[in-house]
Amino acid sequence: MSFDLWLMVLMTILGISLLLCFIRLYLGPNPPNRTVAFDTIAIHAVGIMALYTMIYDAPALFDAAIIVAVLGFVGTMMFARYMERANLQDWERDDE
Amino acid sequence: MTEMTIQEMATALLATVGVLFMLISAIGLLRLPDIFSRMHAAGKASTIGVGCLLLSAGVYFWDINLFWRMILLIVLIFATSPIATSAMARAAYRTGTPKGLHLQIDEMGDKGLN
Repeated sequence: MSFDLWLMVLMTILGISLLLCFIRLYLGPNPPNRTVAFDTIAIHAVGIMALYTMIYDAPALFDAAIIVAVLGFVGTMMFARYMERANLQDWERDDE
Repeated sequence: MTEMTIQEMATALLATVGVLFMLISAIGLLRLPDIFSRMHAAGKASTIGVGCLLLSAGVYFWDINLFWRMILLIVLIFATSPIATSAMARAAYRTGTPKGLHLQIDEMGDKGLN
């Protein structure tokens, strides 16, 4: 098995993993679960960009990966601070 | 598997470890019962999974400028991920109901820090 084909297989596995994160984002019974899924999706985007640079020999995408990592952190912190201050109590419970 | 060089084999090994950790983390995110254990599963992807993937990209290109950029990205993720996770855990504790959480020790509730 050659190297490029193995990188394609890894990209497929990472896509399946991203799909599982999106299922949690769809199912997740309340906003904290969805925020954890969003954080994991941002991390997966950074990993997919790292694989993409290796497959297509485009190392300029590392700058985009840095931007995606910073935006994921800022988004997660923003959702966390919002949920602390918003005082919403009518969410669905976590015991499924 | 025969025509791969040492550098490509190291790259493939690191990328495989990273992708497998991210897959395990996503399965745990989908399967575990409550918010704190899901957060514990998500921490695996953000530390060792993406760390191994970025290191494999750095080994693949083997350029000093790209390698410094890679180290910067790994340090950035390692510095920001625990902050985001602890902020998320505090928000989930303060807004959720403690009934559905599988807590053995509840120090924030016991000491009145809630």
